[in-house]
Amino acid sequence: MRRLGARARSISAGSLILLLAAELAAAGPIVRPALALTCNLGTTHDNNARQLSIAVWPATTPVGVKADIINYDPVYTAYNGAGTNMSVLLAGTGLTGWNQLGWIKYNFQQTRWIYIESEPGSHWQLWPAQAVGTLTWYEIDFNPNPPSPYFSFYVNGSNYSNGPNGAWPVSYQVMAETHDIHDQMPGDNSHYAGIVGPPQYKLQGGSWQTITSTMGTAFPSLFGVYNLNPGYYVWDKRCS
Amino acid sequence: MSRGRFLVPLAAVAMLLLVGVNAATTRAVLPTAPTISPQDLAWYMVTDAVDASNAASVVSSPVDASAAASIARGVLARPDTNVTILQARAQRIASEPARLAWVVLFNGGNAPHGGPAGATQFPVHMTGVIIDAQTGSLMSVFMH
Repeated sequence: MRRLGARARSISAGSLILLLAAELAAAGPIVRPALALTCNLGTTHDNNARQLSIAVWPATTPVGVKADIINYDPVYTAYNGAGTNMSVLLAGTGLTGWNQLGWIKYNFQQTRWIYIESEPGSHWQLWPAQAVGTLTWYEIDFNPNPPSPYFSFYVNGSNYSNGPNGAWPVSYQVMAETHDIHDQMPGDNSHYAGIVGPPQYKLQGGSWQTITSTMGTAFPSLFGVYNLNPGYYVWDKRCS
Repeated sequence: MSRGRFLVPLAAVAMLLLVGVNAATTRAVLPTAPTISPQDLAWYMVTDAVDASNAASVVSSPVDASAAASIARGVLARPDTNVTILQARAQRIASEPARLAWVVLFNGGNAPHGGPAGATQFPVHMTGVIIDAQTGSLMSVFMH
């Protein structure tokens, strides 16, 4: 008892957070019950994009990015059509071309979808989304070999689509994203969204590696990000 | 040539012009039916597409074109009557075999723009809903 008490006293607040995070990681993602969410998102709209993101520009061509992403159902007000997503992405120079894969919620009946956005040319593909609270592994591969470089898109290991559209990738990214201050970033104070396990990337001629750059946000007063090392929990501090 | 004989053809020309202007106005007001190239359809894993209005080319299926259009309108929550319907072979995802399907094309749509920070928004001029011709189930949606 004495030893236990001494140990308990020695546990700092930081350690408690780490213990809590470890327990959460062990338990897996928490399913948010329908209608249990309350958000204080204010009364104004601004149509501005905000991200919790990892964005890396490596010295050699990135040919793959993948992450195990928690399916979450955020509050989306549909003030604009741009929606809310969690996704992986391979982008070209100048961000005029890219391929993006993940889940999105936007104003098709306020519904969540699995989606690919391929630019330039505005190619979009949508499939019914997987259940809230489950994990989905999203992966984009780039085959750079001539004469026909192409991208392949995988959802939980199934090849969903292939195509040559996009731009020669120079950046890999993993993100949670909203497009209006009045929309909820995935996650809330009680039920996190995020990435479980290490998000990974692959460079041309290499093998899969853990992304070491950390996820961050320019809006820490609005959004939380917790590094599970590996993985991240993300949430909107305005929602419980 | 009397004045009357000269005026009759003039009136006819005027009528023709009026009809032409009217027709042009009508065409401008009505939404244009969407079209899509075979290459773009291939991107969405759709091949062998034929216009459903060409009865000679359409294969009979448990779900007909009209029912597929109704399902597609429900998926998008859009009441559009001016849709283009194609019958085709389509894959739900690339790792599954192709099935007989209906592709219902709507004008425009509300495309989101995720993308990297700082990227510009790209307009979408068409939304397509792919419906399984055997079961009526939603296979996928695309925008272009």
